[in-house]
Amino acid sequence: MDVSFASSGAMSRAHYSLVRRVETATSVQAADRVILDEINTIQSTLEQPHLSIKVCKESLILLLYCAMALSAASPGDLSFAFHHAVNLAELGESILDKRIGYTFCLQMMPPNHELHLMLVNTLRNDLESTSIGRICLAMDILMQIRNEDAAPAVQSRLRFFLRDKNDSVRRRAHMVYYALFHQDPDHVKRLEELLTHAGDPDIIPSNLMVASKLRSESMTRLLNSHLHNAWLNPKHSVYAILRALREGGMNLDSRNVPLIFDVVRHASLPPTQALLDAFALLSTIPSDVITEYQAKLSYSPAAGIRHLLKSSNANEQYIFISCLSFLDPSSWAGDRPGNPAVFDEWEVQEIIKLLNSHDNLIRKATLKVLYSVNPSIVATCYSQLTQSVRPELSVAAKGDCVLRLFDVMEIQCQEDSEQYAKLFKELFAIVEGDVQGRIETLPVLEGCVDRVLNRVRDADTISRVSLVTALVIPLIEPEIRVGPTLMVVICALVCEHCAKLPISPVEILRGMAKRLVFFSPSVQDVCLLSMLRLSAECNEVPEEVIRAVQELSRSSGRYIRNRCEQLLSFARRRHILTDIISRAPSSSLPDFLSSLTKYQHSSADRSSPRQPSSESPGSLEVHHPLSVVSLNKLRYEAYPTPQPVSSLKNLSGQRPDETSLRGPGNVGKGVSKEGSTTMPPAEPENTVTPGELTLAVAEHWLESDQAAQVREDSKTVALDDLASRVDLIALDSPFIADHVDTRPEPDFEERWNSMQNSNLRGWCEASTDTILEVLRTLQLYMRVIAIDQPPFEGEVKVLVHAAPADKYAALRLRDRNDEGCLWRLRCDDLALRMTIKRLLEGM
Amino acid sequence: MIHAVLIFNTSGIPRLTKFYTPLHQSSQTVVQKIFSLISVRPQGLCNFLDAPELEAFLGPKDGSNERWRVVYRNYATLYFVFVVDGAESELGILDLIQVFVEALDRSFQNVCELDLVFHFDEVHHILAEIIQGGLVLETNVEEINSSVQSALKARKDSFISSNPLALGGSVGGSRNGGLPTPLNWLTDRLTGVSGR
Repeated sequence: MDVSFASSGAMSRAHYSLVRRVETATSVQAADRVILDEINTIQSTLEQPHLSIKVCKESLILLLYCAMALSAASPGDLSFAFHHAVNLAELGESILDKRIGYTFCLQMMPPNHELHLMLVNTLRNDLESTSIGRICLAMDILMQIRNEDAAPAVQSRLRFFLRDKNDSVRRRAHMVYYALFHQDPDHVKRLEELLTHAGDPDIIPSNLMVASKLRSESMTRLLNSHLHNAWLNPKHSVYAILRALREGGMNLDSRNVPLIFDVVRHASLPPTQALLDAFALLSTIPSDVITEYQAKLSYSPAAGIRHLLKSSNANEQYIFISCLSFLDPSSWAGDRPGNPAVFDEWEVQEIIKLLNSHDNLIRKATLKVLYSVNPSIVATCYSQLTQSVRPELSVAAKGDCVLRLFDVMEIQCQEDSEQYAKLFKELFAIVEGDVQGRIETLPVLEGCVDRVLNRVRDADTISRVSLVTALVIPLIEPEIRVGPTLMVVICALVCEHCAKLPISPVEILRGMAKRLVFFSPSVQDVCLLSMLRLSAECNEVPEEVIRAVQELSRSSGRYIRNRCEQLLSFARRRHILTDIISRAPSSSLPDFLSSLTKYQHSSADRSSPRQPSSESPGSLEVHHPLSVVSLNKLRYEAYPTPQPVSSLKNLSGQRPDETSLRGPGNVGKGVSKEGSTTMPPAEPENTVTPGELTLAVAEHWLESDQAAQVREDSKTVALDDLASRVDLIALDSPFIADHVDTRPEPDFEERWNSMQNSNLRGWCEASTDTILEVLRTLQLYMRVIAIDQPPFEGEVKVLVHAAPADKYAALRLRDRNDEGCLWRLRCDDLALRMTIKRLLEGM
Repeated sequence: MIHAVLIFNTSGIPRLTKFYTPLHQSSQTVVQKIFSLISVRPQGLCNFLDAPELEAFLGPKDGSNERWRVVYRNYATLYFVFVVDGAESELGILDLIQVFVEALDRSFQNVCELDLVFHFDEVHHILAEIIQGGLVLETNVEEINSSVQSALKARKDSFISSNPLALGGSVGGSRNGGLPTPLNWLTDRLTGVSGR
C-alpha cells in the first residue's frame, strides 16, 4: 500500500495506521489479529469519560471498518459502542455525524436490543425537525430498521409527509410507509389511493416501485394506464413502468402490446433492461393475442432480437435465449399453419449450438426453450450426451457431462418425482455401469451428489419419500450394481429419511454390508456412518452385517478400522446412539457426524475416573449419554486442588481431577494406573482434528470393551505400562500445570519465522498421533495446535519448549492418511534439533 | 428485491458489505462463498449466475420462480456483486451496478480501490442514495450525485467552520493522487452490458 497519509484521505493518523497495518499484514490471520487488537484499543478509548463527538464518530467508523475487514475471526461483542452510536445519532451536529451513529446501530445492533427504543425516539425527533436533510435521513433509517416499536412511533408524522411538497421527502415517505405498514390492509389502501391520485408527473422510480410491491388489481390497472398514456413521456419513464409491472408480477393489458413491440424495436440495440421486461410482460398475454398483433403489425418480437444470436458476448446470448423463453413457441417456431417460422435454418442451428455453451445458465435456458418447441430435440441431446460418458474421461469432464445430463433430466421430468427416479437409475446404470470399469476404481461425482440431494430437498414431503424410496430400492436388490456416486447418494438419503421409508432398515443394512468391500475407503466411511445411523432403527443388527463389518475392519487401514469398530461398539448400545441422533441439529448425514463427534469430544473431556479393578473383567465401561452424566453420579468425590510439589516425578497417590490439568503443557493422557487395572491406549489432547479425535475415542472405547482380552496380552500391558508412566510424569505434576497456565502462550508462527536458518524436513512412516506420543516422551513443554487451527491450516503444529535453556523447536506435521507423515522442523538449538530429528527418523 | 451489495477485491478482501436481509451465517462466510463462486468463473461467461448454494447463508427461497441470483461486474481490481431474487431483472441490476460505480466515480473523481478502503463510510452513504432496504430509491446518476455533493458540502462547511485556519480540500475524500488503478468504468459504460 504505497500511499502517504496526506494523499490517502484517511480521517486521522490512527485510521491511516490501522488500514496500513491491515493491508500490509502477511496473512489473513495476522490481519485479523491487528483488527482485534484495534477493537480492544477502541473499546478502551470509548470507555473514557467526556468523549468529544469527533472522537466518538471516528471510533465508530473504525469499528465499522474493523467489523467488515475481519476475514475469519468474529469481532466479538461490540455492545460497548452501542450507546455511543445512539448518542451520536441524537447529538450529532451535522447530518453526517448523525448518519454514522445510525449506520452503526443498523449494522451492528441486534434487532431487539434495548437501545432501539432510544433510537426510535431519536428518529422521531429527527422527523419533527424542520431540516429536510434530517427528515430524509430519519426516513432512510426507518426503511431499514427492523423494530416493532418504530411503526407506531412515527405513524402520524409519516402520514403527514405522504403529501409533502418536497419530492425527496414525499418519495421517501411512500417507501417508508410501505416498508412499515405493508401488512396492514387499511394502510395499503391509503397508499394505493395516494398513488392513484398522484398523476403522471409522479412517475418516479420509488413510486413505481411501491406500486409494484403492492401487487394489487388497482395498481395493475394504474400502471397499465400510465403505460398507455406514456407515448409522449420520455423513454426512461416508459421503461420504469415496464420494470414496475414486471417486478410486481403484474399482467400486461393487451392494448399495450403495440407499445411493447415498439419497445422491443428500440431497446434491443444495444439490449437494455427494458428488453427483458418487455418480453417478460408479453408472457402474460395469451399467445393468440400476440399472434393477432404480429399479423396486424407485421412485426414479430422474436425477429427484433435475432441480431443478438450472432453475438459472441455471453450476456447478449443469455438475453436472447431468455427473451425467447418468454414467448410461446407458436409465435415464432412455425409449427402452426398461418404462423411462419421467424428464424432461418442457420439461426435454428445457432440456437441448438447454445446447448454446448460454456455457460450453464445459457445451456439451461436453451434446453427449456427447445423442450417447449419439441421435446424430441431434448431427448436427442440426452442420448448424445449419454454416449459421451466414456471410461477414459477425466473425473472433472465426466462430472461435467453427468451434470449436463442432469440438466436435461430435470427439464424432462419437471416436477414428476417418479419419472426423475426412473431416469436417474437409468442414467447411473450408464455412468457407473460395467463398461466404466471396476467399482472400486470409479470416482465419486460430487457435483451429482449435491444435485440429487438438492432435488430431493426441494420436493414436497410426499414426493420426497417416494423419490427416496425409489432411489434406495436398488440397494436391496443384490443383482443390481451400485456405483460409488449412487452409494453416497443413497447413504445420505437413508441417513436423513430412514425413519420415514417403507423399506426395512435391516434390509438396507444388509444391502450396504454386502457392497462395502467393493468401495474405496472414502465411500466406505460414508457407508459405515449411514449404517451406524441405520442401526438405531433396528432392534438387532443382523449377524451377517456384523461379520461383513468385522471382515472389512481386518482388511482396512486405521481410519476405516476405527469407523468399523465404532459401528460395532454402538450397535450394542442403541440408547447412546438414539441420544446422539436426538442431539443433531437436523437428520442430515453431516449433522449426524457432527453430533457424533461432539458426543465423543465431550466423552473424552469428561472427568469421570476409571472404574476400579474390582469390576468384573468382562464388563464394558459405561459411557453415559451427555444427558445422564452428572457430578452426583461420579463414583468418586472431586479431588482437591493439587498443591505444587518440588519434583516433577513426585507421583501423587491420587489422580488429580482432569480439569485441573488443562493447559498448553498438558499434552499427555488423562489417566493413571491404579492397582492392576490395565491402562487404555492414548487419548490425544489438543492435537488432532475432530474426526481424528472421534476415532481416537472410538479406539479407546474398543479397548475398554475388550479389557479382559487386552490384559492377557503381555505386549500390550508392557506398552500401557510405559505409556502410563509417561502420563504420570506429564500430567500428575500440578507444578507443570500451574506453571504453564500462568505463562503467556508463545506464537507458533512467530517462532517458526524466526528460525528460518535451521530447517530440517523428512518423511516418517507413522501418523501424527504416534509422533506426538513419541514427542511426549521428551518430557518438555509442548504446545500442540490442531490441524484446523491457524497458522498453516491442514497441518498439526507442535511448539516444543526446553524451559531451562529457553530453547524452542517448531514442528509442522502433514498427515498422509495411512501412508505416513511429512515433517518440517525448525530449531536454532542444535542439541534439541538433533534430539527431535533422531526421534522422528527412528520411527 | 436486492438482498446484498458486496464489493470485494480480486483476492476476496471485502471493501463493502451491505445486507438487506438477515443472515443465517456470518457475513465473512457469505462473502467467501460468493467470492468462491465468482472468482473461478472464466472470462467469456455471462455476468449472472444462479446460486442455490446461497440458501444455506441467506435462507431458502419459496416458489419455483424464486431463486438466489448473483449479478456481478468486475472493474479493475474490484468485484461489484449484487445478490438478488427472481423478481429483479439481471440487466437492470447490471445497469444499477454501473450507476453505483458512476456515482462513486463522480464523488471520488476517478475512484480506485483505496478510496473504498479509506472512505468506506462514504461508500455506504452513496449506496444509501441508490438503494434503501433492498429497494431501489434512485437510478439517475445526476440525482444521486447531487445528493452526495450536498452532503459533502455540508461536511466541508462544518469542517471549515470548526477549523477556520485549515487548508481547503483536506476533507471530503476527493483526491487525484495517482493512486492504484482507477476502475476504468468509462470503457465499460461505452460497451453496455459487455463489461466484465
